[in-house]
Amino acid sequence: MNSQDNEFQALRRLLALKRHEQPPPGYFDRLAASIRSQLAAEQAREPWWSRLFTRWEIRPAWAGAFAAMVAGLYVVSVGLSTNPEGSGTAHTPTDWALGTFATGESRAGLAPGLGLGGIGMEKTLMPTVESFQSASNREHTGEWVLPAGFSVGQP
Amino acid sequence: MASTPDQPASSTSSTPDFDELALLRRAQEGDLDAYDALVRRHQARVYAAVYHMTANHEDANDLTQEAFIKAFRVLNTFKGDSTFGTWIYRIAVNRTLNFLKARRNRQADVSLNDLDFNAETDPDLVAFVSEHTPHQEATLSELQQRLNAAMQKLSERHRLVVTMHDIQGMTHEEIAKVLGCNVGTVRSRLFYARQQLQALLSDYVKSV
Repeated sequence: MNSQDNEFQALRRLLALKRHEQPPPGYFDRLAASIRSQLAAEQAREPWWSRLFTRWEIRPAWAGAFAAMVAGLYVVSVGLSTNPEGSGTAHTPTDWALGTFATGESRAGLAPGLGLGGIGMEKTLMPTVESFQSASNREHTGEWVLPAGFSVGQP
Repeated sequence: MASTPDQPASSTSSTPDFDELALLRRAQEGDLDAYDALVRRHQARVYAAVYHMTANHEDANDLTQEAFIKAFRVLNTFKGDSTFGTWIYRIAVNRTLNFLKARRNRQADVSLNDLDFNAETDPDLVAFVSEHTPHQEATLSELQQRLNAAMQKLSERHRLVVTMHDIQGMTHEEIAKVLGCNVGTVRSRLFYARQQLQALLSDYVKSV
């Protein structure tokens, strides 16, 4: 390498001239300020959720903590929806769709009128087509509570 | 510590700079103050590389800004395999090469920076001009024009290694790291580029 450098010594001295080519005075202060202002404007335009995801990429622990929190909330909500005495069964979506939650309420040991039906939930329960078809057969059993304004077999 | 634009910055060494690492972590969390500090550390060196490649101050200004802004956007992808200085330098060089590829088909504008006051008093340069210029009345400014014209005749790859080695003082190993090639390739490109420059500037440069 040294022999190569010696061979081009004169050229290298000439190229050293380029080191003296400098931008106008104060240029680098302006350059840094310009870069900063452009980035600040970009940050201001960025939506909050994008900044959140960006942080998750840096700190995976934050993402893990958030996932753990969501999982915890899910477990708590499932726990609350089951019988606090441990003898009942959670209402399944099928129960709700078939309108059998009243039976479920009984199974859960809740006093009639104090469960979901007691706070008027049956008034807003939307019956399914299947429920309508079988309503006339099931009404007498007391399992089915028709929503207000609905009547079976009449227009 | 401020380094002159063409001198290799300390951050190119493989020694970890803990202060810089702390700034990086903060910048990765979106702290603009920290990123501003990083920009100020490396802007002169990045600008100089782009400027010597383009021979145009305005283009160098735009490309340097673009490189730092792009780097901030993808700062989370920086894993620390190299120093931040090497990383941002590589981004700037790649952008510059793309820019030059696009500019190749049109007339390149030359907008050179003025020589600083030290050029006229640099004993090496004064001696060089008096010894090697064909006409004694040749000024440094004329020499600058000829030199830049010759540099622009090199291919981008050859101009790049001359810029990095002979102007910015980077080692072959550092250049290889930035370009992602081996040291032998850097040496051969440098040799070829110097040969071409020597031929183009034969009036000024005579083998010693």
